[in-house]
Formats: sequence, C-alpha cells, structure tokens
Amino acid sequence: MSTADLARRLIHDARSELPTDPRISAELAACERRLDEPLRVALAGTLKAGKSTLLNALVGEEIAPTDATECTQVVTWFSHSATPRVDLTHNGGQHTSLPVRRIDGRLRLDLGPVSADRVERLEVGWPSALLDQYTLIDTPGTSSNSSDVSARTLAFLAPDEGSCHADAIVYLTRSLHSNDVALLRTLYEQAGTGRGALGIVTVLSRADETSAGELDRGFVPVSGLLALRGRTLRQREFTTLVLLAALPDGILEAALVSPGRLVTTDLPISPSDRETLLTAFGMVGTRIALSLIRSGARDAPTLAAELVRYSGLDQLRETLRARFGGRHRQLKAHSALRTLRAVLLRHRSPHAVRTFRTVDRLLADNHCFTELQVLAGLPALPIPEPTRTALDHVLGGRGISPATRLGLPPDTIRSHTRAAALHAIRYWRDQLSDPLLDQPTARTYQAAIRSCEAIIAG
Amino acid sequence: MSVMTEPAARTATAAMTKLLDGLRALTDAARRPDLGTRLAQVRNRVTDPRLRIVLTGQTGQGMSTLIEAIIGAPVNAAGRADTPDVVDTGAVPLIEVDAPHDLVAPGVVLIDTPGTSGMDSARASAVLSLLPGADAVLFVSDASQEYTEPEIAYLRQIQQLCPTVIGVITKIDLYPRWSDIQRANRKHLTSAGLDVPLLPLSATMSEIARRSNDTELAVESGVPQLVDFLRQRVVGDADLVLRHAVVNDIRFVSDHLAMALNAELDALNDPRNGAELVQRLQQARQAAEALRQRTANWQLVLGDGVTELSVDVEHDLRHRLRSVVREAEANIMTSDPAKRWDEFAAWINGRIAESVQDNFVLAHTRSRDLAAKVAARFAEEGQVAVPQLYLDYTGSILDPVQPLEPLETRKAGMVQRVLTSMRGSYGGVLMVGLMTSLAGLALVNPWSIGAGVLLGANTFWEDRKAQTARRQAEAKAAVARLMDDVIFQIGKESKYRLREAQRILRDHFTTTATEMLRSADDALRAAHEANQVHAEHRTGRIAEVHDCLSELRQLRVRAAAL
Repeated sequence: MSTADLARRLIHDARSELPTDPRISAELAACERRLDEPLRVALAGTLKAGKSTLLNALVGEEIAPTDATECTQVVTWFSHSATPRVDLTHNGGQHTSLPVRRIDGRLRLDLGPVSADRVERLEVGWPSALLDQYTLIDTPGTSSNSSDVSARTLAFLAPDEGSCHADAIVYLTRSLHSNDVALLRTLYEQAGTGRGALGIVTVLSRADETSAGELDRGFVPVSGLLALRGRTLRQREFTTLVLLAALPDGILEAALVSPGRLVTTDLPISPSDRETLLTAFGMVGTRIALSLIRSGARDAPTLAAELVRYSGLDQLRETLRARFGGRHRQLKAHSALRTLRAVLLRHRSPHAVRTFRTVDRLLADNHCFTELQVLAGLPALPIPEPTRTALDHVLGGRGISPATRLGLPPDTIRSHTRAAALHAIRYWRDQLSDPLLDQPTARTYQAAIRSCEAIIAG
Repeated sequence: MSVMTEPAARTATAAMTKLLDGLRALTDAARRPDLGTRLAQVRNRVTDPRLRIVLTGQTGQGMSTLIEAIIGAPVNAAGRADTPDVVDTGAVPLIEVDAPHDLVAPGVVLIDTPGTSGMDSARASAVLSLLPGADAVLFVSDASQEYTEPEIAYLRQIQQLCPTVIGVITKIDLYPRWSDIQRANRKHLTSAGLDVPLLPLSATMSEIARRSNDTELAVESGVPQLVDFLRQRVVGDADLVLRHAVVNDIRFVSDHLAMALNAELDALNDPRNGAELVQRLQQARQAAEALRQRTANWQLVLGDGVTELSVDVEHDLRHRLRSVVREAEANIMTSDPAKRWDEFAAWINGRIAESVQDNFVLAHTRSRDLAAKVAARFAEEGQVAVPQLYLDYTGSILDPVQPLEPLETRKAGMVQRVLTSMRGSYGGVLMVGLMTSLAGLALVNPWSIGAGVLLGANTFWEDRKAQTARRQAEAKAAVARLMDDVIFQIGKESKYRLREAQRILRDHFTTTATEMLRSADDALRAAHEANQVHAEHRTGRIAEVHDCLSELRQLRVRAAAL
C-alpha cells in the first residue's frame, strides 16, 4: 500500500476517532484534499533575488508583478483555474474577488483599500499547463528593510507553530550571503524536525549578471529574465534586436556602453522602441540577445528557443521534475500526514492514540524523505565530482526508476538491475568504511545503500 | 614618491610653511626651544597630509574595480607600477593603495577591504576596527538591488565610527533603472535617519571613457563626480581642520613670544612704572604655576574622569559579555551541543568580537568627551587644542585569548551503552523473577524478561539523557572559562589604553602650562633687564622690539587670512 493510500486511511480513521465537530471535520477534509491537489512549490529568497520573474518564466506569462525595486508584498498563491481570477482572503476570514486587470500583458494585483498586513491569503487562478502540475507560491523577499514584509515570508516558510504549507521550496540566491546561509539553515532545520518542506532546491538566480565560478557547487544557475523574454518574445522586440545586431561593430559597441547611450545615440531605430527593449531585456539581456542573433538566430522562434536554452530554465524544470515530479505522491502524503498530526495534537483524544502513533511512525520511517533530505544537502558535501553525480543518480535526484538510479539503459532486464544494485551496495559500503568520513557524508552513503536495497527488494 | 599636487593646494601649503618658518626664526631668536618643537610638529602635519579613505561593502559589489577607476588612468600614464601594496593584518587581508595622482589629492590612502558578507562575521568586525582612523568611508553597493536590512544596519555602525560616509552605487551601466534604486535607497536611508550622500557611478564606463578619451562619457560614468566630491568634502574638510590647527598654533606661539617683548617694551618706555608691571607679570606667573600643579582643577577633572571612565567601560564590557553568555547558555540548552560545537564556537567568537568592538567604540567616544571637558577646564587661559586620541583599534587584541576548548564529541561506545542497559535489565529480571518465583514460576519467565526489557530500555534512555546533560554542563563550563579569559585579556588591554589616554592628555596640558610659565618667566626677566638698560641704548632697543612685535603682528594677520 502506498504512503498516499495509508495517509488517506489514517485520515478516515481519525474522522471516526475524533469527536464530531464541524471544525475538526473541515480540517480533516482540508487534509484529505491536499492529497489530490497539485504539489505546492514555494519560491523563496532575499529581496530582488528574482523570485517573481522566475515564476513568470516558469508559467510563461507575466502574472506575478515585478519591478526594479522591492515589489512583492504578500505571499501569493498561483494555482490552476479554467478562467483567470484573483481571490483575496482577509485575516478576518471574509473573501473578496478582485478584478483581473492586465496592462500590456502584465497582470496587475491591486489590493485596493486593503493594506498588506490585513491579507490572510492572496490567490491567483490562471489557466496554465504548469499550474495544473504545481501550485506555485511567490513569497516577499527576506532581508527587506520593511521588516513586516520579511516577517510575513518567515511566518510562511518557518512558522512558529504548525507546519509549512509548501511541499517543496525553490530557494533563489544571488551570491550566498550570510543571511542566505542563515535562512537556508532554518529551512533545513525545519525539514529535519518534520515540520518544514522536505524538498529544497537552491538556484543561483540572475545568473546572466553574476559570474558564477565560486558558487558552482551543484546549484542550478538560472536567469529568470532571459527565460521570460524567450517565452514571451514579441515580434517588435525581435525586429529592434535584428536592426541593432545589423549595425557596424563600432557603432553598436558605442551605443551599448550605457543605458542612456543606447536610448539617446543617433541610430536608425526609433528611440521609443529602444527604450521598450531596454525595459524588457535590461542591458545584460540585450547584449546576450544580440550575440545570439549574431551567432545565427535568424527568426523570432529560434531566438526565443535560444534565449530559453541560454537561461537554464529547462535545466531547472528538469531538476524540479526529477526531484519532485516523481515523488509528488509521497511529498503530498508527507504534507497531509504533517497536517493530520497537527490536527490530532490540537484535539487530543484517547481514541486516536493509535492513529497518532502510526502517523508519527510513517513520518519518521520513510526512505523517500531521507532521500530528499540528503539530496538537498548534497551540494554542500566535500565529495569529489564523479562520486557526487553518482550519488545524485542513485538517490533518485535524476528520476526514481531503478534504471535511472543505477545509470542503466531503460530496458534493462530485472536480473541485470539486481546484479547492478548488489554491485552498487558493495561499492557504497566500501566507501562507508572510510574511518575519516564526516557524519553528513556517512549519512548520505547510508541512504544510497538503502536506496539500492529498495531496488533489490522492489 | 612623485606627487602631483593641485596648484591651489600647493600654494596654500607653501604659504603655511612660509609662515611657520618665519615664526620659527623668531622663536629661535627668543631662545624658546619648547615653542620651536611645537612649530616643528605642526609643520610636519602640513607637509604630509595623509588621508585614509576606506572602501567597504558586501562581496561582489565591484569595490576593487572602483578603486581601479579612481586611481586608474594617470597611474599608468605616468608609467608607474600599479600593483597595490598588500598589507596583511592577520584576519583582514587589506589592499592599501597609495593614490598618487592629481584626481584625488596628494598622499591619499585608499583602503580596499574584503567583502563583509562572507561566511564569517568576524571579518566585518575587523573591517569596523579600521574605520575610526579613517577620514572617509565609501560604502559600496551595486545598482542591481536596493539596500537590504543588513546593509542599513552596517551603515548605521559605520556612521557611528566615521562621520563622513558616502554611499556609492556601482554598475549603473548594467541597470537601466538605477535611478529607481537610488530613490529607494534614499528612502531607506531617510527612514533609518541616516544622512549619507548617494553617488551613482560605473567603473566600466569610466574605463571605456579613459581609453577613448571621451570626456562626455567620463562625466556620465559618475567617477569624476565622486572624485570631486572627495576632493571638496573630504580633502577640503581635512584641509580646513589642518588650517585651523596651523592658525591656532601660530596664534599661541606668537602670543607667548609677544608677552616677553611687550613686557620689555613697557619697561623700556616707562621705567618708573616697573613695580606695577612686575606685579602683573608675577600674577600671570602664579596662574601658570598653579596650572602646572598636581592640584590644578584640570588635573582633578582628568583624574576623576579617567577613574569614572574605566569603571564605566569595564561595566559595559561585563554587561555585554554577560548577555552573550546568557544567549550562549540558552543556545546550549536547546540540544546536544557536541554535534554542532564548531558552528557554535564560530558563532560565539563572532559575538565576542562584536561586543569587544562596541565596548572600544564606547571607550573612544567617552575619552574624547573627557578630553573636551579637561580642555574646557584648562581653557580659562585661552584657546587650547585637544590632542588626537585613537583608542579603538581592536585588530589583534583578541589574539592572546585561548579559543573555545573542544568538547568531547565522541558518543559513548555502543558496548558501553549495551552494558549500561544490560545492567538495568539485569535488576529488572532479578526483581520480578524473584517475586514471580514465589508464585512457583521459574526465575527467568516471560514476566521477568518483560520487566528486564522495560528497565533496560529505561536505563538506556536515562543514560542518554544524562550524557546530553553532562555535555551541556561541560559546554557551559567551557563558555564560562572562555569569558573569563576574554574579560582578563580585554580588561588588561582596556586599562592600558585608558592609561595611555590619560598620559597623552596630562602630558599635553602640562606641556602647555610649562610653556605658559616659561613665557611669564621670560617676560619678567625681560622687564627686569629693560630697567638696567642705559639711556643711550634705550631708543635703539625700543626700535628693535617694535620691529619684532610688528613682524609677529604681520604673521598673525597673514595666518588669520588663511
């Protein structure tokens, strides 16, 4: 029986064991609903890390507002809906629907007379294939000078009581400052106590602006802006870019010296077009797009594809799919169990003791979660490169089928897979026998051994 | 070092040295080596005006590129090796650059510090210790985002240590909307109550402008504006302070010289009035003598002030460290400290460094207040300059402190644990076994085994809890020992520094009092000698003294014109 089914049965048991009370049954229903909903992925990071831009790039439409300065004020949920809608829940409990206003292709989220601290929840429903798979949650940046904004994010990601509402977190960082480290540590601790999201993927954001180098420790570099521009490229932008790319080298270089010059230099392209381009692409984006055109992107669809490829968005989606996609049932089950545990704790009942214990046991003893935890910590371990990649594979970081884990072709017959798994167990045991191993590394090797055993048993 | 000097600055310097040299000649003629030393000191300051400008900011904000842009072109044009001197000061690898060209000023020292945001916070506090000696601090942050909360907190610390802070927004060539960022930063600064000028610039643009000789682009890059700003505000301010010092010293020395000359002139002009003149001079002498005494008012103020200060500073240190200890103990109690001991040690070292830094800043500001108070007491006799005090360099003072001792991290071996739990279960089996044997069962039966397992598990858990508690107690003891060591070392250092401050102040004011006494003595002697002068020499001597006095007056007028 899968964990999800177990969770469903436990919720059912709890319903009969707890006293009948409309509040409790509503909570349990929410618990059960969570098993059927898409996976919830939160985007987190310090301010201006590019969370909203990356969200837009993932969805392929500008539905999360962005600006040059701090912009996102409240935790906003983006979920699938047949028609666009914006719902606002006040902290008093009443609901209002906000008008869906799009200006120039961008969704405007205007809270109206409601101040940000009175909002319990802001939910945007949007027809999108990606949102059918994942519910995306945009959080305001931490380390903000408006401390109440940062506090809202922290309350969402690492609540003082209860558990985090997200199943997985994509953490965006630009250069891993000490406050990033502190927040990541909190998130990992939460995951360790079983109250936080289990899957954490760290992304090096605004990668087009930063020269990665030193930070290249298994973080996924992504440029949200380039990806978004690639997915929403307009013919007019493309024409302007082509005209710019056709200019002689000297003139183009002189114009690209500064944003002011790009707009004001005397060129055979209308300044307003140039300004639009600059607002959309930024200086770095414009330079990259121009070099892509010069190296062979002849038409708009090619350029769009090239931009997306260059941005690293596909790699991020692949990581998300491999890490969370294959495990989405278990992740949701874990979330549901966590919520169920909280409900049982709140309404203690002598009849529900057995259910409570089962929930605890399931939460503690599940190798899938151990795998995700060690996978999330993998980039930080002092392991040489080929071993790191092998660990990533065997722990299911690239997909959870036995063949992917062992690096075999997909049509390998069962006996071969078992033999390979046995071989792998021996190898990892051998690694584990090193007396100088630090504890996190040893734990990772143990998890790898356990994963191989699961393949043999499976 | 071939220093290109700005013409205006050069003429000002030349004028000041000329005045000082003129006065020096008069001092030598009057045989007053004590006043001569004073003039030599101020002359040194005029000819070597070194300014220290510190650049600081989080990592990756383009600090080093900015330094290159500021010193950039003329360095290479003059064919100088532009490799900066790397001054290694232990924890903080500094790059100190003597900026030797006309853009900035003669002898400006730019200090490039490593980014403060890295993994360890000790770095930031080491950078902070450089700031009190700096003439200006450039806080560097790029135009990709507005100030974050840690940055504003850091700015606030900087401003307490160095009043001239300039916010530099770099990389404006990459971000079209840098002016929005500047506005947002201004808003954050205003709401934090910080008065920091913001200058946007781009080092890359300045570099291109330099290569293509494009003055328009150079202006757009914002680097010349920064240099202008530095020249006007920082160099200008430092210049103003220096001129004040020069004018003050010239006035002080010429007053002292004139005192003897005036007395002589009075005696020469009107020999019959001698007694009254001598009486007046005697009074001046007594006043100076009184100032030199150990019982002088200013001495009392200084003595009391230093005692009070040292008590306050020590109390402040203890108070700060006590709150660190409290935080540390709370931290230790949350879980088994052995598992995260390294991390904990790094954290507590950072906190201690921070507290010590704050404590020294307090000592510094309070000592300056004390100096001003003593000067006010002393100043009944005229203007007295306050000597410069530097007390808050904490660079290496934590070095002699023993690091936090390692905690026994090894868990008790499995054998040990099994033995402990066996011992527990043995008792259980025996107890229940004996009881049940009365009921005719064997000694080892399901009941006694059950009891054994229960008691064994219980002992096992108890043992584990006891071990954690023991390690927590050990950790607390280690923290207490560390604090003891810190208080011992820092207390010694801090007392030494306060003594030093006391000595500087006492020497400064005693020297001034001695100079005053010497001048009064000279005046008395001059008046006495004037009475013995023959009538035929009298007119000649009067003319000489008149010449000297008018020369002094002219010097004073020219000094005032500075």
